[in-house]
Amino acid sequence: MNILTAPGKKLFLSGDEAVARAALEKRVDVATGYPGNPSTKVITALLPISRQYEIIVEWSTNEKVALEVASGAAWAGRRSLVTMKMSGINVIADSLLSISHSGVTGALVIYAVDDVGVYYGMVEQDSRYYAMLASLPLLMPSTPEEAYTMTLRAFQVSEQIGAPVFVLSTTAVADAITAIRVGQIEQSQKPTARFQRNPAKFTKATSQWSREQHRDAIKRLERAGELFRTFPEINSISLPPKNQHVAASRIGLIVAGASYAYIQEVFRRTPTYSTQLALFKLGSVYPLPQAELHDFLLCVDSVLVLEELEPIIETHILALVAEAGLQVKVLGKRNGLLPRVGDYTMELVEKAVRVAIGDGSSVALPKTATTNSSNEASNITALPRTAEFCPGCPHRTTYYALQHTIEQLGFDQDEVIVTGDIGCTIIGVHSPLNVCWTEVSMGASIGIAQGFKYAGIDKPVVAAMGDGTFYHNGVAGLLNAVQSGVNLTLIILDNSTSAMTGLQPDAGSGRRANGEPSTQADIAMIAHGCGVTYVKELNPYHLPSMIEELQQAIVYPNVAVVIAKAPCTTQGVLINKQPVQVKQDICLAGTDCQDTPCYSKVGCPSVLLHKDAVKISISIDTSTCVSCGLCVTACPFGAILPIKE
Amino acid sequence: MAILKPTNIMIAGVGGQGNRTLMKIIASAALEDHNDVRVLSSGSLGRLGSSITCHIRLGPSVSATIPVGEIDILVALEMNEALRAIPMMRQGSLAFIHTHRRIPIIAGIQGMHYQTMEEIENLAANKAIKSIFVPESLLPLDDAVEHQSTNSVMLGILCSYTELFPRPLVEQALCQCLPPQFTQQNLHTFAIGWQYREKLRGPQ
Repeated sequence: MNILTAPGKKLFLSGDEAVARAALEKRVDVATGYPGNPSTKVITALLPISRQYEIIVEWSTNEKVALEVASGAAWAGRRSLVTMKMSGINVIADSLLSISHSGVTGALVIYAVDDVGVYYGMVEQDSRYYAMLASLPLLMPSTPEEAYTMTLRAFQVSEQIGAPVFVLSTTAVADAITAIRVGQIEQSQKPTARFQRNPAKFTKATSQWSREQHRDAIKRLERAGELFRTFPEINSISLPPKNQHVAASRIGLIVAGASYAYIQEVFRRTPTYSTQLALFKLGSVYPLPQAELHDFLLCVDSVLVLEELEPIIETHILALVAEAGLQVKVLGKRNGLLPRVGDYTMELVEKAVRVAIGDGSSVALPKTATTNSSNEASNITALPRTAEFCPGCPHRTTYYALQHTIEQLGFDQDEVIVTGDIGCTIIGVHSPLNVCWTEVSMGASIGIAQGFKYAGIDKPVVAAMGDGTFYHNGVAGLLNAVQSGVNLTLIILDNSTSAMTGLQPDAGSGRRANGEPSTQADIAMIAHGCGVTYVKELNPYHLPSMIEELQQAIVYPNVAVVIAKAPCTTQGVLINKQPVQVKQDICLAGTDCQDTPCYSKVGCPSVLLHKDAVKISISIDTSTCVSCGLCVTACPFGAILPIKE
Repeated sequence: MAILKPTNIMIAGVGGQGNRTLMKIIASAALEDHNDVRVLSSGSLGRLGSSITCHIRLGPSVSATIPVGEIDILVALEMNEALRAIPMMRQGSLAFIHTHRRIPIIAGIQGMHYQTMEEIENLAANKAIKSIFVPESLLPLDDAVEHQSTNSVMLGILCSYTELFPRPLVEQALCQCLPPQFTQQNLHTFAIGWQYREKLRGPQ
């Protein structure tokens, strides 16, 4: 049974899946995306029903391509959806502005998720700025239910006014799951695909066309604002009973995003707050409903603005107050009350409300909002837990080989800079490998490495990225490095999939998102095509060959590319036929083998260290071990051996 | 039978232990039992050995995130992970803590102290939290290791001890949420957990 089409009027869906259900109800024609949590589940949910409902669903090579594909379909009159995490918005920016200014003829909904609080990694950013930058209407849900209703509205408005519409969620909404009352799936009425030639709208070939497109984008934005005003579920105002409101010295709240859910929780706990405070809930964050906000501000003496990350709404409110000459005190981030970092919580929102109503003069609000850490003073804290390479991961073996290569070339590990990249490969930053030094954005490792060489770093510089990262945005960096003539080594850790986000296919997988076979890209040929003269592809589990090739690559006078190719091991397939175990009568752990390199140098979850008051011992967890053999190699005493039948 | 009082359950564990599956089973049972349910689990690195926390809110709520200090029941699938949740628990709440230890590699290499059961119990007692430690030996080795059934044994203990839902309803939810090839095995370990309640009652 598919989660999006299960029987019943209510479906148990996450915020992401709610977006997918809304897109299905609107009979979206094309849905594209790039895997990146917390947005991945939209495309994942649509894939299993794509054939049944005639939706073209794809994991694109990067977010910019995903947007362009979805836009092309929308220009031809179709309904399109494109999804990505916040980092993807940065990638699409160039095309986003251009497409926004041109508008669409069908419908285009852009769904992205800001990872507020950084639960998945990368930059904590406020992507609402992109709506302003691109003159895009922006809706911001506070719950999965709203993710569903707002996506429905986004399709409706996009089609009605001819503008892409941006639905921006946050992790607390995208990942939350609840029962959502859903509607009917529309009958599909696919128009014939048609694209009318109109260079003045779809090119920027003359300055006048570009100016006119900019003007049109602003007009569409204004129309979107007018439409949003007609949907009562998008923005809402609740005023306290009049007599109490007067008595309570007229305090207002303006709330957007997940904070609205928290304020409702606060009101449930302390119902008197809801009778003291006027509340303006904002779903359309861009454009803001200026007239309604103005009227609301007339009703209050002070207003608390609750929005995560940047003070965007708050700044608009301050401008409104100034323009209208109102005497309204605005509380939020600009006066230092609320933090700009981390995700809000019910407790933080409650404290801010107490300050706003004058019930919290002694309430201290943190500079950084965050929920996911211990907030109690205690001598006993949980052990740190970082991401670890899975048992037998080929990336571990590649980095292990790189460590040995650096040593054998006569360098210390601290002398050879290794620029890392996005995805599983960055786990090499953690102990015990400690290989990667930097992480910037998809494919950036090679440009950064080139910069180090330009700066005059005379020791070798190595860049490391996965295959998906290379396809996404690494090729341009490689071309640039080759053209520059610098000497650096690029290691591509090729497992032929986007592993970290859930094994989505990439250009080298040989299959499409829906499982159909596809052409398989060849990284070695791409590297040759870029002009690289040293390209080697080899199996990272052949450790001596890896070390030898890496040595040659590092001393090569130009750009050298080493492709360490082996499949992801998460499926648990044994690499070598026989599983291994520690022969306890040979193992000298804790006696003549104090540093237990099979454990402390390899860092594999399947190698278990047992310590008690008397002794140290090592064993292999055969339920997870895939027999890659790295611990066997690392053991100086030959104590890890294949289990005999 | 809807739960009258809103109840907040947190699951804490390490990636690969079936934390999210356990969350889904509890949510599914609650939905069948006509409860309002919201759940939340964030963090994509769980698969790679990172910590996982799952929030389950039974009864009316608007946000899926359990407010700090309002966890009523903790289910820790890994002993050390209980420490991450204890500061967020309510005074006088209840913690089911599996004694399975998965030492983080970085902690093992640096020789960090893995907290003992007594240390964790004392910390919990400071908040009047009742800690119920579930020994690894409860499951035969094959069930625990080969079938990775820690989550279903903890489900059995949780549901029998708290009587949150009728047993058939939980078993039905378990069958709905797991692939068919795993249901018999997990029903078996769920039953071991369910029966463990009798042992807990013994000395009390």
